[in-house]
Amino acid sequence: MRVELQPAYIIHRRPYRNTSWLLEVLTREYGLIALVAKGARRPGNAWRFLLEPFNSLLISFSGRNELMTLTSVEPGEYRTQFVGDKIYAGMYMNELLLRLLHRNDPHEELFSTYMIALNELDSAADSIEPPLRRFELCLLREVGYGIQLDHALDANVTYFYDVEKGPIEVSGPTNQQPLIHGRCLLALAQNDFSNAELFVEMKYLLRHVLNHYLSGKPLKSRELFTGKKI
Amino acid sequence: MSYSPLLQQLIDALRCLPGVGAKSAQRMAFYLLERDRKGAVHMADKLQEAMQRIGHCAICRNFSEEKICALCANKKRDSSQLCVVETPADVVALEQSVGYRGLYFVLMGHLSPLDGIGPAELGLNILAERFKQEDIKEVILATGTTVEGEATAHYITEMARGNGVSVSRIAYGVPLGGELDLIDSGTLSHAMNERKSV
Repeated sequence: MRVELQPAYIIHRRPYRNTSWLLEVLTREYGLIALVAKGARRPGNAWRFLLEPFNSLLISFSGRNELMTLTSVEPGEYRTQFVGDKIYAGMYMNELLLRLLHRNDPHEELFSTYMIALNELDSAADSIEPPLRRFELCLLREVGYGIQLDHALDANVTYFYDVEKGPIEVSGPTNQQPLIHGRCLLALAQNDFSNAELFVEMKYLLRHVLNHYLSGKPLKSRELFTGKKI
Repeated sequence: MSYSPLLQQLIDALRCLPGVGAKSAQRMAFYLLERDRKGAVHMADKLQEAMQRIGHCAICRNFSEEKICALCANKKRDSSQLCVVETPADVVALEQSVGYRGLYFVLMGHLSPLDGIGPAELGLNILAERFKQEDIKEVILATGTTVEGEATAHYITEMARGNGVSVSRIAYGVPLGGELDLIDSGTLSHAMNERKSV
């Protein structure tokens, strides 16, 4: 297989042999793929600064096996220069992708959502919550675990969200978790992130669902957000 | 061709070195056996001793066979400045080329959640203790200019600010003797954005 100028983002890279990188790359048409970037760690290699997470890239690669070879890299449309918490947010998205995606399954919509989320994180001085929530919703949908929002929902009713069955109306006191307000579920269904008061509840719901599918193994990148108290 | 069992074991053992494959390991093993048995025994002794005795300095986490390394124990160093680096090699590079007189903290890596490396794995709790206990006025962040290096720098910045310590980041830009048209655009844009008045 030979692919030319495919839009892509580096999700993870680790050193390979003396001078190469082993890359996990999210591509628009081929999904998550593994590539080896030969010689890319040599001093003076032109790819060195391009092959970083969050850079929009156009890559060419070829190969027959699961591990293919990177043959060229060009800068893509966007340049992101992440600072501060936004790097953590980006690392969080990358960790989710690596944990939940299977290699070589195309997810074009997810690629677009990831790209938009990175650009929003990069440009906005606003909250990092809406781009992250949109990304999480899309990721869950793409891997077949989408949040179930097609029930008839009432904004004024409280629901218990069951990961398998979806929202279940709650009447009276209960110790079931998580409890979510109807208006929060409606906002998620309509992709409406204008009400900042709902952000905490949205995060809570998505975290609960994601944790279920991450099989109880916690995400390391969350420590970056929570560990600030040291 | 098959080697004798012990020779095979020696060759396999040598392959744990970075960049040493089967062929290089065989060359090394034959060289030591044919030409320099004394040197090999000495090396084996030192390897044994180093692996047993060298640990981490309790203050800066650099390699040291003492509980506190010579650099941290040196009273002439300026204890109000603390330079944070990723590897012991970075300390050596800075010591050899820069007139820096402060102290160090060696992370032994950088934040990389996807590899399972978070704040605790980098000993940042030890660093937080130092911010609290010692009279550090300035922390100089000399982590790499990769995404992971930046994330690490940001994390330590927040820790330091929380403790009222001022933070600086080493400058990056055009290398000495560099010509602008040969520099990558990322470095060049940094150099332009962080220009200084003269």
